[in-house]
Amino acid sequence: MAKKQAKTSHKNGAEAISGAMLLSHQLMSTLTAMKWSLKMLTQGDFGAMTKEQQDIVGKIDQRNDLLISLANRVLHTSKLEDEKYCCNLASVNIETIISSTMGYSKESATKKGVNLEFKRLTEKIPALRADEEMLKIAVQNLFDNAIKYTPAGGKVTVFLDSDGKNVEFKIQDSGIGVPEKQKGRLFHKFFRADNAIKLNPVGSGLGLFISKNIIGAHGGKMGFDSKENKGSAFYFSLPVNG
Amino acid sequence: MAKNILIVEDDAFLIELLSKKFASEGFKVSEAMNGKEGLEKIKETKPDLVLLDLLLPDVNGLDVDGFKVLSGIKEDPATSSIPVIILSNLGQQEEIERGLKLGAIDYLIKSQFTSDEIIKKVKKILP
Repeated sequence: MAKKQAKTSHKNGAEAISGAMLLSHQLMSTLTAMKWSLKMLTQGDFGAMTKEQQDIVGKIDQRNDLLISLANRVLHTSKLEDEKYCCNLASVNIETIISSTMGYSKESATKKGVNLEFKRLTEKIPALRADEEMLKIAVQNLFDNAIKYTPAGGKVTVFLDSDGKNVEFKIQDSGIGVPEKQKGRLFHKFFRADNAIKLNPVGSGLGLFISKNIIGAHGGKMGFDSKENKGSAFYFSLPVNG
Repeated sequence: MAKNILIVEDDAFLIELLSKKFASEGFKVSEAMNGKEGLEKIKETKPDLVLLDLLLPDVNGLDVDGFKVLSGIKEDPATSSIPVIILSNLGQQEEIERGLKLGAIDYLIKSQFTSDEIIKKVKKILP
């Protein structure tokens, strides 16, 4: 009886997940239409606007971009919970993922006045058996957080190392850090630390949860060291023959 | 001579925005709101470039999605040289690879681009 119940609830779960995926796709279409029209408004495609109008439309556009990233997060979470999406294993070069993520992140870091650097600590980083797309999401989330929670003039450094058996990734920032008493909940779904909320009121609380689950699904381990107001280092280790 | 762009897209609002943007840049724009209509228009009018959405409505149970439109264009020697840019919110690696393998010249994820960035891409392909 108990077994049967478990099965039923799993089935309902699966339906809810594909519902979430469908919903986030639909959200994305609408948000895209809004993004395009807001950009066109500010670019004067529908006539000139006053400075005040431009300013407010610009702010709506920023909020809309935020919604797009939230919808993406929901999509990633639902994919992760749906077994058939993780993991599509192939030979993956993590350095390629890092350099493309560096490329994406460089702009936001520069804009903010945060120095972003990459250091490879060993000559050869072995290829991994991993789901490239998922791993990209895990890495991108860590880059996004490091930049988001590091003030202007700060520093974010990414390290990559390997002993031949594992590949070790670390991203160190000089940001706001995690309050001591909240460290235990940092990887919980929807959790956001008080100082993170204060600095940036809007966020999903899903990024770290997603990253940790992706690394876990690959047989890896993820953790962090942090000191409030000093900075954080998030790291993960993935087995080469995972 | 103005270049002809065909937009195959089921969202009327996105078509409206793209049409306006392309027209203001001197392009001639036509549109198709499902895959079947898209393929017919491509064969009939031979546009200079196609902007193609992937998730398209199923008309009369024919289920001609963007991938089918793309293979239809590339299989016919009369249309195979027409450049196709996929414009979709499907961003899975598999879908991107499949689209490029079928012969799309580029794959743009809608929510990551704006209409003027799309114009820039098109201008690079159609100088």
